[in-house]
Amino acid sequence: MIKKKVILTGSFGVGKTSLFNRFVYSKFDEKYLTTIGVKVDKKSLTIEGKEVTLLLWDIAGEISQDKVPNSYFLESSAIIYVFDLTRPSTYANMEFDLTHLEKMVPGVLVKIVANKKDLVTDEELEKVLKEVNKFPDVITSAKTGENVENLFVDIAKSLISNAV
Amino acid sequence: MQFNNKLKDRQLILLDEQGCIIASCDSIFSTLEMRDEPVFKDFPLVESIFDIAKKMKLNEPKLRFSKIETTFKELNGFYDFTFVKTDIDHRRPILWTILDYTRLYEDYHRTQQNRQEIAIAKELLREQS
Repeated sequence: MIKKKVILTGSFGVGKTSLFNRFVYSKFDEKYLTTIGVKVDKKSLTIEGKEVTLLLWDIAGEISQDKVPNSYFLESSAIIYVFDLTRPSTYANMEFDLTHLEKMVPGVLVKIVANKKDLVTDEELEKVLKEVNKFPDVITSAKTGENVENLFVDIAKSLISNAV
Repeated sequence: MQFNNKLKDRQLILLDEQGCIIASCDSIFSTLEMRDEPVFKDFPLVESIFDIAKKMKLNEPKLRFSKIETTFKELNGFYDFTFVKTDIDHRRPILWTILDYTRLYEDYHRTQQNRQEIAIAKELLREQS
């Protein structure tokens, strides 16, 4: 069995825990409850006949990623960088954060996720996508579940193909 | 093997190379029913860092993870986990220490929750105006 550590990171309140809960437990809670440290759980997927277990780390949101303890990133295979489509402060530091993450874990697979799609109109979405430095890999809604499963399946597929 | 630990907010557990419990002081929870297989099912965090812990050398600084929320039903609060390689009778088990900081971190959690809710509300107001 293939096991891979995947980290959810990004500023506070962007929906990391909601994405985690949606994917692992198929649930969503409207109430925002901050994560102060770390929660870890796992979920197994079968991709092209191979079983891959994603060990998911939902870590406390920090305005800047250099505040996250280095030990959390040890031996991680993928990092999901989440931002909130409704809050510019959550993507303002994206370039700095991504550079920092690449330095911490060279060569790691990084997926940029724009979350809370359910809260923006098509026009607002278009406006944000023009503002961000890096185009997101996936646009999700943890509330409706849109693209959440796809996000993790894509990561598992990429990690399997890298492992071969 | 037995531990002599009198602190109720700290549990010491020795893990073998497979992640199975060799000994535990059971101060916070009983491990009697958990001895036959690796602890990974109950503690995905331990599974996740176990290869790193196994590769640690003696006297290497502890690996520490703070403010952990677990899915294990006996641990409902906030905990710190540390891992360090030890030398006991020429064996090299991993000493896993669970520190119960629930009371301390609950206060921190409340403060952080308030602070972040205010910051989010202010930003959203700014965006709307």
